[in-house]
Amino acid sequence: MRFVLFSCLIVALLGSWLYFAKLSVDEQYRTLMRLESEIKSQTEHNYVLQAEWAYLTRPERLLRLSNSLLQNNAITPERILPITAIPMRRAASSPALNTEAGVENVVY
Amino acid sequence: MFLVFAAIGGQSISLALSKTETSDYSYADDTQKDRGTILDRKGRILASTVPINILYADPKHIFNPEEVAEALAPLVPNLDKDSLKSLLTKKGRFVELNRKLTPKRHAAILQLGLPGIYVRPSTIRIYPQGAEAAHIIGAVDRDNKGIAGIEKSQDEKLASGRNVTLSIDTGLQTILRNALKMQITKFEALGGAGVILDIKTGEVISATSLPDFDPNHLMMSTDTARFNQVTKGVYEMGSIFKVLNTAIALETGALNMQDSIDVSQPIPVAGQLINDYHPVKGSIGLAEILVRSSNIGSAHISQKIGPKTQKDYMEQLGLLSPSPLEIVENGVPIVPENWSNITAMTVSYGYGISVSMIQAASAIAAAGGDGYYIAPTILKRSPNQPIEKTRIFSTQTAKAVRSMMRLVVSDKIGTGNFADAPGYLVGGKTGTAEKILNKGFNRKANRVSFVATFPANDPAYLILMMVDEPVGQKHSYNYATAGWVVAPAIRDVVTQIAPILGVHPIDITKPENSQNLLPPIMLDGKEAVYASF
Repeated sequence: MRFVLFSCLIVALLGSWLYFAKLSVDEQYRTLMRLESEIKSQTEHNYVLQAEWAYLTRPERLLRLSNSLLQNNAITPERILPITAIPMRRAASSPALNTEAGVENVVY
Repeated sequence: MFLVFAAIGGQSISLALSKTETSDYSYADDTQKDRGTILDRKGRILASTVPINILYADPKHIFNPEEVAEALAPLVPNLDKDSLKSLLTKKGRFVELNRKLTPKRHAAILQLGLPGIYVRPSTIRIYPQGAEAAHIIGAVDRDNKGIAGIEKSQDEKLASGRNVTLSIDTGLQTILRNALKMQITKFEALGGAGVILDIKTGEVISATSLPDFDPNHLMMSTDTARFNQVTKGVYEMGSIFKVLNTAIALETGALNMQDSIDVSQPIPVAGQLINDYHPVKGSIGLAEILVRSSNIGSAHISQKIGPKTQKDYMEQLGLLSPSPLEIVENGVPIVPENWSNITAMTVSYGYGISVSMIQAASAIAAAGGDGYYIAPTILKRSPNQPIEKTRIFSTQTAKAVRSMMRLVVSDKIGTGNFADAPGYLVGGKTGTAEKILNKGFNRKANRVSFVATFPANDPAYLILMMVDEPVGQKHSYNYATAGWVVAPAIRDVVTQIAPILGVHPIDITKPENSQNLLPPIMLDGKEAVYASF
């Protein structure tokens, strides 16, 4: 009889533990659902923002705005030079040169 | 005692095993993915899917349509009270009232609490760049299924949620489209088209066809606007084919740079005369034939090449079968059934064979570039992706062809002087083709085109532009030829796109640049120069 009573107690305890475990899983499940829903909503929101950004930064609009507001023109070939066209700085240890000599030493 | 414990235990287990509201939850349905995004080569969004709310009615749940229509009318755009009432009294359980409900209106409608009026979340395909590259991107139907362009050809990939990156650069697309649009307006033309090709990779950097359409409002566009003239339309290309004729002649050894041909006599063919726009007396060399765009000279060259050889080369250059471009709108070329000597003559200057602009661009890229044919692609290549190249022309032939193309632009007797963008060594060829009218040619209706490569010493990009039926203007002294209509647009495009593409101005006097072109050639009795004049 004692064994049966003890078994019933164990079953009751296990049942209670199972019940609380289930409640906890349900809660976690709800949290997961909420998070998933939030992620979906944020992702969708992100899509909208990206599309809006793409619309506002479309090259046709930027070109139109830059032409009307900045008076920008296409860069002309004379203004594009190779990096080697920039005069090199003289080494600090090299002796001072007069202006003419300095020009001769500029590396193009 | 036993009964109490048994009851508690049994109840606990029963509660633990019972179903609760959360038991029916399932993870978000991953199988229904949002359609993938279409991006340009720099990651700009060309097509995307965004959430929308669809406002709909279930007429069975509406008891007073008059009242509901009156309440809804101020909140539903494009529908007045009467049209709403007729929709609300329709048979069926689903009547769509609006597809693009703004969040503000959505909230206002919910606040009304009208029975039978519901909102269902859905998605819609949007095209932030509007009409830019519309023909390439294509469109989807109401169920977000691709019906044209990349949307259709890559439908499976996009539908599974994966993105597609195109080789198109929207920035360059805008420049090309604007330049073309300007010439169409200036010359009161019907339309036009243009393509920019990366010669080294075969990637289509830009492709535009005008008139075009806004894929966000597809139903409002006309059939003409939806027609892709770059890939779907096949046309007789006219004199730009002379580049191929010259390249084949050099490659096969039919002629060399020192040979000359008498172009003083028109050639009678099937009751017609093959003539030159600017007749020349006497004999001229291969380079001068191209630079002056002599039809007579080209026809004579074709006879030295022979029809069979010419046809073989056309096949190798992908001109006899549809382009392999990853788009559904690929035109089928119209090829002569019998490739006779007369056919060879007309094909030599771009008549008797109709191909798409993209086919012509790829073929000329082989002749005027490095000699390799590379199948065009609209999808961006990854940096390490191997490129399938077929050598059609030797390096020597390619060098000669690009030198002659440069002279078309740089020499004063050339037909494409207006295309010269100083510093960028533009090479090119003009083409003016009469349109077909009632089984004949309409001399007053031309399709003018210009094919350009730059920089000529090491061509990296090819531009092909075409304007449909331009009308001569006062400012062009009533000329409506390719040299007047398209060449200036080429110059504008090159000037604007070269810095973006990283093409630096070239000093042709430097040996490392000039060695990639032929030594100076004699033209019109003088030594021709490659530098801008």
